[in-house]
Amino acid sequence: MPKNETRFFFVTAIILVVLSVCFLFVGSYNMEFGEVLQALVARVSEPDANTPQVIAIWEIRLPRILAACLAGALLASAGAAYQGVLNNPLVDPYLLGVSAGAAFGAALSIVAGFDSTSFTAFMFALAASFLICILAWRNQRVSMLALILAGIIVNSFFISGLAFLKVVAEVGELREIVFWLMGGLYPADWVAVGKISAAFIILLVVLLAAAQKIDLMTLGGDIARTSGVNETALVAMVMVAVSLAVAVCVSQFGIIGWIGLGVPHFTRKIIGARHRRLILGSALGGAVLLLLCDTVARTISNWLDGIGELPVTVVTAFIGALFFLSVLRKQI
Amino acid sequence: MTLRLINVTVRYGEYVAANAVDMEVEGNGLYGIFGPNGSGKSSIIKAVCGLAEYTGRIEICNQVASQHGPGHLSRLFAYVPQQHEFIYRYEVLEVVMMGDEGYRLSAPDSALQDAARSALIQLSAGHLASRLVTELSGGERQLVQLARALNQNTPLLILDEPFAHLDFGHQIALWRKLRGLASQKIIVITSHDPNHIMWFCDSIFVMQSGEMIKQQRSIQLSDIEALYPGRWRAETFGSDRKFIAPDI
Repeated sequence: MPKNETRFFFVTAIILVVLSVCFLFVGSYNMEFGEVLQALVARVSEPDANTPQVIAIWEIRLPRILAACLAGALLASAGAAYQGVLNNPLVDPYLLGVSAGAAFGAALSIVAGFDSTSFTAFMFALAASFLICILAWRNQRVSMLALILAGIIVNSFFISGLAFLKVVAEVGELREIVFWLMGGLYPADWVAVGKISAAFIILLVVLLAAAQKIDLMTLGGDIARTSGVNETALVAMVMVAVSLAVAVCVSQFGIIGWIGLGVPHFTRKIIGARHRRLILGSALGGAVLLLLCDTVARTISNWLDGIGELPVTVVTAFIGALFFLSVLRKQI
Repeated sequence: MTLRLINVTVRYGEYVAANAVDMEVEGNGLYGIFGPNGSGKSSIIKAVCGLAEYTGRIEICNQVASQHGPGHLSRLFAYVPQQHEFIYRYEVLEVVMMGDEGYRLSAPDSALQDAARSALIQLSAGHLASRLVTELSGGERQLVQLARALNQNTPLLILDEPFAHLDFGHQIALWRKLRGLASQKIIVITSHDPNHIMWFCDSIFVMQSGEMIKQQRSIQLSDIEALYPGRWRAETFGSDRKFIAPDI
């Protein structure tokens, strides 16, 4: 068994805690060390405390740090499970239409003037997932090849619709759509943290329960089936759980790419491919990476005055590209 | 212990890979399915394993296969495919552990590891235990899959061309293991090699063009002549053992 496992979990957990604490001190509102501590304590001792420092810590930084950790953990563990159950290290929920469905739903909501962009995005993300499952259903089984093709088809349909909506949108709406497409944790509040926590916990319970069977799926469908795995039930269960969780995440923070694809790759290299530890390890790694990327994005936004908030995908995609470039160079 | 196929037909689209095959295996032993490429051996194996759509009836240990799900069937038979590529970087021991039913039931790793290590040692492959499966040769990968199947501890073992990638030493180790197990299990193997079938199997099934043409105790020279007319010769060694060689 990989000897790095314990060290990985220990070191990553420490990094996560240290970064979370450090990033309480990072933000556009300058605060001294003592002020941050006072603000932290103030809300505990006096729930109605409402100074600017208390608001910056309790209403902005703390929920945002927690949201980044939870969203990163959710996306990375979802990616690890997807790559396992589909036996393909190059897939993640975003590549298979969930993001395009959510993006289309959000854009439709913005252009049509619906009340709830998040809810519409959530519904379309789910619709995309179920459409993919229906298209991939062949001879009483979900065909893996058909599933990936169906993902590409559904993705393409929604991207086509999205392009149309961008053309017909007015300038203000277009800016809103583009910002939404690029994702960001700026809407993070305690309600969003609550939703994403619930989605992550449910996802984690389902994935950990299915982890041993996902391992068998990675030996190939034939071996999995003759080893007692009901492939169709397993794929359906993981897809539904992942789609629901990712849809919640997308509906709150827009599309945050690369975490679900890159983090499981990196984690697998260190702690091996067995999914019980890979899902947990990816969750920790995803939390650290998104927290780091979000803080980098926030810091760059503070430096470059006037551009507004830099979408976190700018940073995650850049880091993801560098990581896969290093993987590619090692393999050639 | 029985394996029974009644009028089993396997089609891939319009193509009939196996046509109305009847086959009956009763009692433990080593059973060989012999035939040229494309004769339907693997299709029959896949139908038994529930990996190919078929018409007809398949009974495993007196239970109709189509009436049971994969969970139940995996306690009746284990399967090793002809070829296998690993995508993810598991250690060999981890893959062999996955054969154990306890793996799905989340038994402690230490218990699973002992059983997995024992399965590898029985195939003279104990030295592979901590290697990464993505770094193994074709033959070593085959050994890992065989060990995983042995570790599944089923009364029926189905092996599709198990010797295809093995070196001579591991072929001997595997034959020894299979002969040893033949008193406790039904073992069905497919093979292109008439010598393997002739020397080691208790009973054989000959397939040609999707049809099961014979089921008998041992392979006859007339069977080989029917499949490969004029392209082989038989040498006799020992008292009455035959060796089939290409006639070139």
